Amino acid sequence: MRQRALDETGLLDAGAEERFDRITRLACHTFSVPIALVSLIDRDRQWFKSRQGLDVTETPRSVSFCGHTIHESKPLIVEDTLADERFVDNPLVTDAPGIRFYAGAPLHTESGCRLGTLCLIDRKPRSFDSTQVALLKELAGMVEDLIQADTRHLRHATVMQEQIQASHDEMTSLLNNMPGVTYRCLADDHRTMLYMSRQVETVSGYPADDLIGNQRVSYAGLIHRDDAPTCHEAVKKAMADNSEWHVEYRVRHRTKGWRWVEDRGRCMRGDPDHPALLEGFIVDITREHDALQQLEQHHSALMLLNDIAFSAQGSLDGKIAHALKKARGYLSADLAILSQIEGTIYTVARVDARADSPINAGQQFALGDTWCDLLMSGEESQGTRECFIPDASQAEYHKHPCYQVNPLGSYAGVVVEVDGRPWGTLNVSSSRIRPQGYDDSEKLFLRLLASWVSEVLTNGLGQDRLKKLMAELPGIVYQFRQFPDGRMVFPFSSPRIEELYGLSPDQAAQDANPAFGRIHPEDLPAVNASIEHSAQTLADWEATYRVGRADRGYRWISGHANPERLRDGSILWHGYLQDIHEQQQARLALEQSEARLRGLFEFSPIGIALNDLESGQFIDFNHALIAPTGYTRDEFVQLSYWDVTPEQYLQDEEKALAELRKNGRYGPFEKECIRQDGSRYPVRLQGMLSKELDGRQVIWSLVEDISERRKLDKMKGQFIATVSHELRTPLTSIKGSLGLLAGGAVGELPEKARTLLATAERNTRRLMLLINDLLDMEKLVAGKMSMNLQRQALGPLLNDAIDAVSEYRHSHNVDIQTPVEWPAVDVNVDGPRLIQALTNLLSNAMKFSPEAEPVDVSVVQHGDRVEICIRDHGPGVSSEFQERLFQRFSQADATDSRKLPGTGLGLAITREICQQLGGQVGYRDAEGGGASFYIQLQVVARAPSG
Amino acid sequence: MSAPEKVLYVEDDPDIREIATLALRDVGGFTLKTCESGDEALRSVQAFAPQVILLDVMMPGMNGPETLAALREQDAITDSTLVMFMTAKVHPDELQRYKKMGVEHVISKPFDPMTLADEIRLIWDGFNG
Repeated sequence: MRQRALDETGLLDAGAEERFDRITRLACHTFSVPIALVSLIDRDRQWFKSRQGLDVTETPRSVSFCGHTIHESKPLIVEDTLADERFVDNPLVTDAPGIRFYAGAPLHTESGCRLGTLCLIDRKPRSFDSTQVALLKELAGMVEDLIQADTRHLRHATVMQEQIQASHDEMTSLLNNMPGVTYRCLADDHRTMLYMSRQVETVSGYPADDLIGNQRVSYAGLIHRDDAPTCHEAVKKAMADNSEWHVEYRVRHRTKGWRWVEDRGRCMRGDPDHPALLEGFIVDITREHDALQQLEQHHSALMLLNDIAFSAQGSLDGKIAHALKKARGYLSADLAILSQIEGTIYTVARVDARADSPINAGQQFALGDTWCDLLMSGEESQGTRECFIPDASQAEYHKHPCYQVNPLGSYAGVVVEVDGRPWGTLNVSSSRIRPQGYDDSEKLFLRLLASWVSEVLTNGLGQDRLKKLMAELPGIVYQFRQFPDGRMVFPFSSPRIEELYGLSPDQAAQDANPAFGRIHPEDLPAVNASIEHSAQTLADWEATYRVGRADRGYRWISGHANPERLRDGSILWHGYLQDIHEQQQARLALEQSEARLRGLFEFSPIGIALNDLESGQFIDFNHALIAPTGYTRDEFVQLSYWDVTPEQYLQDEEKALAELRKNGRYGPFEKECIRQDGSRYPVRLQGMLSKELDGRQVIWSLVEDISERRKLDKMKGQFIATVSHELRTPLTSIKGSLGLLAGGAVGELPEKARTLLATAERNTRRLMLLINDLLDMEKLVAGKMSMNLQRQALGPLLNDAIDAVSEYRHSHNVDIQTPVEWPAVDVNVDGPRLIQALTNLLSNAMKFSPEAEPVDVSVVQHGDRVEICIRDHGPGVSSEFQERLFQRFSQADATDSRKLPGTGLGLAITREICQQLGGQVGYRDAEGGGASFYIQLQVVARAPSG
Repeated sequence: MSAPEKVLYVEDDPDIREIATLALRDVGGFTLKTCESGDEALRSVQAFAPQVILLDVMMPGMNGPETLAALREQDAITDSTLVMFMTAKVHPDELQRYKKMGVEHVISKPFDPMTLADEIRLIWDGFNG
């Protein structure tokens, strides 16, 4: 305890000190003693911190006086050592220094521990009074103060030192545990290290001692040659600016290759030995650097992808070509291919390659011979979607056929999907191996690129499909946008817009105005109005209008679009335009034709009715139908058929209906209709069956009010009768007068007068014939000549006809040759009319016969028909005239009419008669020249004779 | 019965009447009474008492058939009276109609004035034969 207190003073062995010596000298002087000491009591000795008058610095504790003194707190006074038994034999008394007097005061620490004494020694005995004791104690107190101050100071210093030590330890520990390297070095080229924390070993692979003082290597020698200048510059600059440097550079690790470090520090000046010292801190940032680099690589990969994705390439092909080029460059490959794989066929869809590459787009390979087989060979669901082979020469790939066919260096491929199904691959390959492999960025790049290509292809193929589909559309699919400022564009339009408006879809997307210039000026206002209306009401836009094109003229277009209001106030229509020219033309034509027919229907003077076949109800009818009835339209609709038809015609109606069902048409027949007032009027009816669109059968009927015609017919009949009478009456007089004169009723006439009379009479007869023919023709054509058909033998009729022209035979000197006997044939005819017809043919034949040439009459039966042939030997009928032969008033040669007089009605009358007799008349050139007319009639079978 | 002497001829046209007069009276030797209308015939027939009546068919006022009916009406015609129509065009239908009226014979216009009387006598012979 005391010893420790003594140690704490720090006085022990610390040599003499003036401050203590000052007190001992003062004690010597004050007490007039030769010796004064500050004695500190050790374990086994007393050591003099200060001594006056004594040469020894210490004495053994056993002999010391002070050793006694410190046992008590009060001073020990020994006035005469020889008189004190405790010290009488003490060597210090007996020998030098020969102590006879001793006075010692103990020195206390603050805690009361007695460390030693302040003592006075004299070599002669002395008395020491209490005043002197007190003074001694005062002096001892002064020493105590010094000692206590020292102790305190020392204790304080120790604490400080301990703290410093602790701090130092902490620092060291910190330094050693810090991830970085702390260093101090010289500012020389070697960066000779004065200190380096031991972490340098993890950075460089060398222990600190190898580097300090360039023991084994110099630090500067570890810095990457490329980075050294930068590093050097940075340090130099920091030294010059008295600032910190901060550099990153590579350091060669003894075994692990290059490490990235960050070095920051500054130059310290003021050390007397080294005017400039560099102190700094080095951190291994390889990981961070790698991460950063990877980040940068990722970034650049993404930038590249971005560049690819947003390239200005418009077309799908352009985009993909651009992408392949970029990918090949980025991955430093020889080849970048987008392949399409269908089954086992690998097709090079697009390729980017070095100029000398033999691979071209369109080439096909067996999938098994390509590296992409590795990608595609997996299960459909979990197949390998990507494959990165930095070194294809490795054994595991040797087995694959593709190595035999295509011994590549490196290969990377990713499956490209379209519509969610594998479509092909995106692959890059090179003849060189990649020792460093494919890093994450490159893999990421290829994956993302493949997925972008997938996207683009899906889109592109989809668009392609859409385009093809749209191309098949007969019309145009489009969007039309009207901006609030009135601007108009077609944001989207299918390619056929060019045919219609002469604008490419791109042009149309810029400005829609040129399209309006194509619209027919007559239709433009309506089109504009319809757009405006649709924009206002958001109702669907519909329009039919004409659009012009220089080479085709105007064509009808029909449009339909659905509007949508956009946020900016624009209206966007989605719609469809269609060329309906043909339909429209047809529709217009139909409308026109319908209008015409309707007009015809409405204004027809003949009543037209449309009735349902089953119900007999009127579906439609025109004005002419009801005009004679006296009913209004509304009244008429209510009527049934039998309200207007007298019952007496039931039979006719039924007959007509049966005819209609059988033949699809009926009539014409005549009947009467009942007016509103009950009176009747005659009509002529005919009709046909028709089918409506819905399959309903309807009857179209023409109902002609023939009251007027009846009246007219009557008038005509009267007129004809009148004319025939009025014309014939004077002729009767003339002919009678001439006959009387010629007959000599009024006396003999001179020869010349008779000749004249004969001429007059002949011409009267001609006039008579002419009038008869005209009236006959009128009656025949008007159907007014009723035929009185009777079954009779043909022969007598022929004889009668030949008799009738006997006059001619004589005057023309033409003979008529007939067979000996006529065939026994019966015909159903009106005898006088057939005779008239035959007479016409006979007189004609005689008229054209040369003199003395006969006219031959023959009859031949062909089955149920009999042919009466009248043949002459005249000039015949020219082929041109044959066509007109039976027309009224036709005569072969007008110039002949004098010589061969005739009305030109004979053959026409003959034809009418024959037709009304159910037969026909015809002409053929006779064999051997001449004309041959024939009449064919139906033979009536004769009952078996008996 | 012997040859007819008295012929009544009803004809509206004066020229024809004149020619007929020449043909029947002067050439044919008949006693002829001509009337210009049916009315006149009705008035004259009783007094004249003809054996043969020739009626023009188409006449204003009463036509031939009507005149015949009227003559029958007043019993101016007996079974022994030969009635004949004279008409321009002989249509079978009309012939049929005339027959129903008891007129068998029709003389067609224009007639031959030199043979008209002979024709009538021929018919008369047939009528009475």
